[in-house]
Amino acid sequence: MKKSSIIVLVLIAVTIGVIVSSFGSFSTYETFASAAEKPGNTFVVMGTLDKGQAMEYDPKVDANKFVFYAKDQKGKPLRVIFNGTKPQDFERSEQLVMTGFVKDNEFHCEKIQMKCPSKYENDQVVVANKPA
Amino acid sequence: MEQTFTGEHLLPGQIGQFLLVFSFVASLFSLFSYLQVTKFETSKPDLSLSWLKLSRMSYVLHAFAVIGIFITLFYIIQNHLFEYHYAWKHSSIGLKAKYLLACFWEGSEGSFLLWTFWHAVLGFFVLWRGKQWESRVMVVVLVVQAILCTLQLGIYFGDTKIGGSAFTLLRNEMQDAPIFRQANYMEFITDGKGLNPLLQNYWMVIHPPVLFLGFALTLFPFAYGIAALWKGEYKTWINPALRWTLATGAILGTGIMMGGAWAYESLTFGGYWAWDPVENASLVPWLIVIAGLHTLLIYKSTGRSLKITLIFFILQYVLIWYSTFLTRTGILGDTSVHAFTGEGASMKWHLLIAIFILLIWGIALMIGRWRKMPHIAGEEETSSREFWMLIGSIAFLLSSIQIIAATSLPVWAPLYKQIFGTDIAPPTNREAYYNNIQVWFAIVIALLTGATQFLKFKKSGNLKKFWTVTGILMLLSLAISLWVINWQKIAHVQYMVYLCVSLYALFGNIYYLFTAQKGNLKKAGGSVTHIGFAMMLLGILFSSYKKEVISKDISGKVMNFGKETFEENAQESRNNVMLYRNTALPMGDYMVRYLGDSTDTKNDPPITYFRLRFEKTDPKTGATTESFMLYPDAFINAKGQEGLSSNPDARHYWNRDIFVYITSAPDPKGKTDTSSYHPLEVKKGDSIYVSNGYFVFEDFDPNIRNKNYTKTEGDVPVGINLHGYDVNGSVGTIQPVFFVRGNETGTAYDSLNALGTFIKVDKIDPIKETITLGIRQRAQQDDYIVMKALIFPMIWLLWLGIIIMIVGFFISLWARKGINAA
Repeated sequence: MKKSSIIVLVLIAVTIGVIVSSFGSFSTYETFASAAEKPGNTFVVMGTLDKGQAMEYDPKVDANKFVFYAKDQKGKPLRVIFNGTKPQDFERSEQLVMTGFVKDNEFHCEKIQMKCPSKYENDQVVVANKPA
Repeated sequence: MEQTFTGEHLLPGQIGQFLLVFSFVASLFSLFSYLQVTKFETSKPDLSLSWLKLSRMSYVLHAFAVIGIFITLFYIIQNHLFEYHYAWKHSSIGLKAKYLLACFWEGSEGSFLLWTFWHAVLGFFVLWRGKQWESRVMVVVLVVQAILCTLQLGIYFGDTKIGGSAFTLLRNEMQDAPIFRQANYMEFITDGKGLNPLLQNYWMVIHPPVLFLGFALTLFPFAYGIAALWKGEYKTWINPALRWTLATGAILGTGIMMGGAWAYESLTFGGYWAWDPVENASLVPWLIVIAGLHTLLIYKSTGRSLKITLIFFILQYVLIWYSTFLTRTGILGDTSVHAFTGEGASMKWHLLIAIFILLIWGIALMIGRWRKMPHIAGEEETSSREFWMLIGSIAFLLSSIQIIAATSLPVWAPLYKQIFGTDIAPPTNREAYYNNIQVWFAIVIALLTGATQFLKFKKSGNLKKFWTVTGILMLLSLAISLWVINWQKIAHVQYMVYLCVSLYALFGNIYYLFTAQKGNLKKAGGSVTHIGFAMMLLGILFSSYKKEVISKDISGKVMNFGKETFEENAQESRNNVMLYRNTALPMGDYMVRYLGDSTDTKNDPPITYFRLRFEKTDPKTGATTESFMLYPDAFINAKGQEGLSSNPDARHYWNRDIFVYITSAPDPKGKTDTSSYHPLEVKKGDSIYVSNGYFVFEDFDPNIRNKNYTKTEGDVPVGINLHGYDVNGSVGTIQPVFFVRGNETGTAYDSLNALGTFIKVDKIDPIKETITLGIRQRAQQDDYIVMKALIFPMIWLLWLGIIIMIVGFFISLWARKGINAA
């Protein structure tokens, strides 16, 4: 066998190993209930803004805390705490893709991606404060 | 009965639609003719030649039709013909002229048109200098052009719509809306929806054309590859293919870099690169082009690696179409921030068929020619240059496979769910995920970039000199790395290694440039590109690894983010800072003071500028050593949206950039009605003092400019011109209005954001020549911003590196311009 073939095969094997082992980094889509079963682990929850409940954002009290209620795909509402500012056009979002974890019956959210009505077509994403 | 409409301009659309069909038919005819050219090439050269004339003529017709479509659509947008859906959806009357082109390619149809346009232009180069390769290359080009034309036709076959036309009328697009039952509906459609304010940016004007030129160029390495396989001739295609590949590497690279620069400037992703699926989708073909470029050089010098070169050229082009599929059909769904969602769901099958055609074409030719392709018996020396260049190209390929596999998650997730039962989602920390894997590919490639040039093609002979040079350069890199690691406090092993090999790549290529090539610019393309590449790697490390948020809120509570220590939680949760007007907070080395805002209502939509003063003081003497202003801006409640969309402002230093942007501000709608107006009687020429400045009552004015006033028939209005000043001087003029309407009087207020003041006119006393104003100042507790400030160190190294890299491509291209014409 050629030496180049051996090196190429080794490289390919390593890459496949890396890709497969990186599957551990992939997250899963969950509901609030299934995310609550593993508190502290970060998941992605799809849901909608519960427009019946009030949203709280008062920078005078805390510029990094936005609280709202969201319903997951099974319709279960939960209080969501996002450690950032209130995103633009949040009221109009049709769907929320929230990344975070459940703790003390609250969803602590690090990232929200919003689907907005086709006004501007663009989805918008907001990322909470994270260290570099 | 057929409904008729008035006020429509149907002619441009009819011309455009005709040209769409015409360009499609012309491309098919030219394709057919070029096929005849190849068919009779050897058997009947005369016949072949007359077919060639026909194919060229029809190609020219095709190309001019495409250019005609381009001009027609631009005409529609420029003249605000909102009866056309495309113009209505993407442009508006108030849009600045410089953004007319930006809305041209904001939508799917326009960007496909741009892509087609570049193909049409580039095709002329093949007509001009293609020689014996012209017919076969042009067949490939025309197949792609025909596919692109079908994507823009917008014609129905039965119930199936083929493509989306840019010339569809608004009333056909939204047939159910009641307004389109009126013949004079155009009288009500006075303005378009306009360009997304986030895209009103000069990058939107230049980034798409360059990126699509890069996309269009990728067709030519593919076309030359197919043509070589088809003809079964693998010699004379090398030089033209090499030139097209170099051009592709340069332009596609520039396009990707511009996207990064745009992202950096607008901070929509928090930096210049976020491994967003749309970014990955154009990066991966570029990586494969670079791999193909290197294997083509191997083939040119040694006769090896022909097959893998052809595979790379086919693969990169299939990936271009695959990335179009990913980004246009909405399949990325909730994994990407970019546009185009949903718009192209109907294109899904259309694009899949296109990918299938290109893929099958390539695979079939490869298999058919596999055994007949020239190859060199025996294996390459381990100490030869081609051996390590090939390894590097494979590393590029594997890196691409990892990126595209992870990016395609939404494509394979349904299958995964069927097998394993779980709903897999992208990694929660996407950047860390890609960085931690890709850093190892970067290390391998940087190492090879530094070392391989010192090896010779075919046989290296005595390796003593190679090891001496490598050893010295490696020791030098190691020493500098140790110093930098200590200085920059780099804590991760992989980034220490990365730093060391990037420095090695830099020194290795600089040394090679001056010793082996003796600074000869004509030969230097490769070395220059590699130097730029190494600088880019270093820039990535410094700017990303030491990125710092300096706006930290230390006043309030700390939220628990599952981190172990209080400090980690604090760092995660407190990056936004609230600032009241005329107050200051420390951020990094600076005291940052918010001085106020002002709104430019002439802009469409109105834009608000926030004034922030950064001051640095000497801790010993207390003297101010540095002071500058930054003006981040935002569209507040623009076009019926709620909230603000923000643009950062930046200060650039040689060794770092300071970025600041507004993340929240009080809703101006809430500001107007809270506190009450205080009456004040004044005469012309009087000064009116408010808490942070004063107004001068300059004059009565019959010309009304105040936008809060709407004129009604029979009104007698008079404007009061007031000029506002703060301690630094003039901050603008306002004009509250007093009017008489029938037996009643009324007033329209005006406001000056810079002073946070609203003023109306309650009474005019013609005898005393006085007026009574109502004055209200925004309550201090409602006058604040929430902002974020970041520092990116050494970012110039990244940009300079990329620019040098691209210059290197152009040097290589220029050095090869004369060789054995295309």
